[in-house]
Amino acid sequence: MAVLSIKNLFIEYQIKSGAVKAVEDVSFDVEENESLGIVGESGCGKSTLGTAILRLLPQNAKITGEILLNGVNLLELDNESMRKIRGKDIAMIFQDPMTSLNPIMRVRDHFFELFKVHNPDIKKNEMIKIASEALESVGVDPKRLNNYPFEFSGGMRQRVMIALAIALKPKVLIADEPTTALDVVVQEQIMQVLKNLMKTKNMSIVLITHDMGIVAEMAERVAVMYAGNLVELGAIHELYNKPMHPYTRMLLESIPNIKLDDMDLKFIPGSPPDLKNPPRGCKYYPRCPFTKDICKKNDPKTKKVDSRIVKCWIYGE
Amino acid sequence: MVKNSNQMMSARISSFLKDLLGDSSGIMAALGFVILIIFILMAIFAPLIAPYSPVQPSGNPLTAPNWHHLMGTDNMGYDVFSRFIFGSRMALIIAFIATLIAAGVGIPLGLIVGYFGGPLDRIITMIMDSVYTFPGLILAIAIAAVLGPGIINISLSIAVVYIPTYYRVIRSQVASAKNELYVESAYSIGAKTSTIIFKYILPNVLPSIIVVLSMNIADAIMTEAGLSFLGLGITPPTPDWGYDLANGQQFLISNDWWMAFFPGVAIILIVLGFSMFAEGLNEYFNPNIGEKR
Repeated sequence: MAVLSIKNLFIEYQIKSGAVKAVEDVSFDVEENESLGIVGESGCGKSTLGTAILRLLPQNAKITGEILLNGVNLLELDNESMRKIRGKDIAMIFQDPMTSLNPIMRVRDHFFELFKVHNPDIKKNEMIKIASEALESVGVDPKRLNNYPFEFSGGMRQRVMIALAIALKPKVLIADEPTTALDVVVQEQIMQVLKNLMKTKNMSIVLITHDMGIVAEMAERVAVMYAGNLVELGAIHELYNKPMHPYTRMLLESIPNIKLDDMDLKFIPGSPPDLKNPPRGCKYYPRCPFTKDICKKNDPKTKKVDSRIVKCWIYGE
Repeated sequence: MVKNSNQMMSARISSFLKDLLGDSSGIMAALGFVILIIFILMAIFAPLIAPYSPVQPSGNPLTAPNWHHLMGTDNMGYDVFSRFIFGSRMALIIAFIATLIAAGVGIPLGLIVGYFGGPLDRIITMIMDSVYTFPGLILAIAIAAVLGPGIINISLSIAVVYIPTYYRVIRSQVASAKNELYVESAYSIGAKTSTIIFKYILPNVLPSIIVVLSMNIADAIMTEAGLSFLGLGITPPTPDWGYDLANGQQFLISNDWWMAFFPGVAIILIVLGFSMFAEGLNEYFNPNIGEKR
């Protein structure tokens, strides 16, 4: 059964000059103990989507649709109940570990804050015990609870952030580009930590990234987003071996490979559309090599092809 | 280089001092600190140090400085040295109360407005900016004239002048701190808004206030002296440097210089002390500030 289920989600940012359609009609499920990757270019709505699940978007964001956590629609909860879900049922880790911890609070106090929010009567010993366990599970010495964030390196801080996120054993962990600010060696270590946690803590992970390599390593299924739309969703190996949507295909082709003789970097010409004023029809047609007349007129419907979900006119009406 | 008419007097003094002393901000802070300590001890132990009562005639009027009256006596026969000592009490008390009120109103206001923003921000900022445009002393005179004399009233009229300084510093800092990732991650663990404001944002913006605070005390002392000088301060014969200065300057023409000279020196010294201390702190907390000036 799906732990997290997103149905027909629309997100618009209201700005002075109109509305920016950041996410349009996105639906997917995250199964128990599954890791789902969400990939796409910058500005295609990945982070907006991740942040929306925790309802942490700025005031000017308008969300419609359903975000179901174990059948409960998060969008219908009052602020107080939503606050109690954050950190306990759904946790999040952020892109930049250098700034995601409060510089003037000890690591210990970050944990204490989290525990007290969700259980005001918790005893200090117990808090230290859970925090130590959490730190150990990500490979950080529990003695370092008394350190300040500046005493940690970037990779260690991200581990601390992960420990903080998983301390209360959430059902879903949203990782918003967790390794983007880290070098490749540390990236690998962090991915290992996340993999281990998934196995041992029975947790689902939504991994938001633009790094196709990381998704390949980590995720079981992957959702490809373009201009706020979910254009393709499928099992990782099927999708990588046989991409169906032209965008997915070109995205995979643009992964640099130093082993090939052809050293030129492949890329997708053009840039994502202005989401304030998106093109009519399919959002991708201005950059798509397979554009047909119908692409310019009507937005394709989301279709199920084999075990895959794809949004393109190539696969019929 | 920031030069505008509203720049605090103490900031101008300290930038002058910096030019004078070069980069030796450590010496400056230490020197300022010593001056401050002397004045504070003087205020605390005034009855023990002062040889005479500051409000009782203790000799012939207008005696020049001698061994009995180190700084001479004034036209009423009060000992100028004793008034010098006791005057520090009034200056420090009013400066501290005024700064406390200004910070006590300005900081929470800046915190709340900076955090929530929106129309509230626009309204409050407009009010604060209009207060800020008045020259400090003029505004203080106007308020003091309405409220009348008395320690609290004088402190209040000085405080009003400095509330916008705190408000502006805190508001701008909060407005940028609230978008920091650690605030978002605090939300993501379910922290309450009040926790976030007071535990995550406030401690991160407070350091910027410490310097403003000590500079502010120097300015408040000058404003207080100014008000007393103009007769809007403390009721005589309570010892007060500003009042003594005003009183003494009438006798300058007959060469009785000591009556105006010593209170004037006191005001200069204490303001200098605070300014040097503030500038030293400023450099300590923010090493980039030297380049900005």
